[in-house]
Amino acid sequence: MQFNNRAGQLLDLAQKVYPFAYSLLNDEVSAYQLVVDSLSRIELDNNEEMSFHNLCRFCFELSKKAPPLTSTKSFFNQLSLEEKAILFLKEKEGMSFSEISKILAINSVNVHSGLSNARNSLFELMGTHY
Amino acid sequence: METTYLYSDSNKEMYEHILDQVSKSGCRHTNLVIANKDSNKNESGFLKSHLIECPECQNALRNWEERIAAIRTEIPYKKIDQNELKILSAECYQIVEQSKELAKINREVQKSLDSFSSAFVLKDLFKSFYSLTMLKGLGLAFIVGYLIYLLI
Repeated sequence: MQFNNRAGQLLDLAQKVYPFAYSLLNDEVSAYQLVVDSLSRIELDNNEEMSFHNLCRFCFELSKKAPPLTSTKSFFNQLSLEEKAILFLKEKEGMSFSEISKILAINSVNVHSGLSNARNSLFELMGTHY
Repeated sequence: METTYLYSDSNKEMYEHILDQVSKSGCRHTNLVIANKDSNKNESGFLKSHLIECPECQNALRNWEERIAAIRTEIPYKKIDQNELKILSAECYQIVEQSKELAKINREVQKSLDSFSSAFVLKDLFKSFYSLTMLKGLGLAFIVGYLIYLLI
């Protein structure tokens, strides 16, 4: 199959955003589908720029419609979707508060308090095991 | 010796975290710094040298660092596996093709809409011309009729 540059760009971005999608849904198949859906949405919409930040934004938006996780052993997955997204983008991707606020469509103050709450909640959940 | 300050716009966030943590240590030196932090940013130079010596502040910071490290290990970071990557590359190719196809359809629809609207313009022109001709014809018939009436 002849693979063009555009498809190559999409593949690079998809690989980068996959860990974020996985952290939100905690399931390989759902994370894969979320990435593909987000890619299609952006690529087929002429008004949206194909970038890592936009892809994260679409992943987060679409993940809200995903069915809730049923059984989770991980402490991280007991957090809310927004808390998981803030923690992941801050601690794993090293994004600034303003970048996170654009991706999650919330203001920077809420990102600050969300991060603090998420850290405290996770630490409390880990409490007995840490 | 050149003094390196903790505070700068690039490490503002880290500075805030440090102040937040050492404020919990109960050390009166750092509490003085915190009280003055908005009035004098250079106090962070003092804070940095103080952190090297003060065991209470060091403990507070160490606890915080350990806490953050523990939190980081709890956050999953899973990369896509090779089998899924192969399927994904095919999927990406398909998405690009679909996008091209859609752009082509959009162009054709736009083209049809343009020709449709120009047909409407032509039709309007024809209508006005026709009504004008009709008026002229009626006028002419009226004049001819009037002349015949005068002759009779």
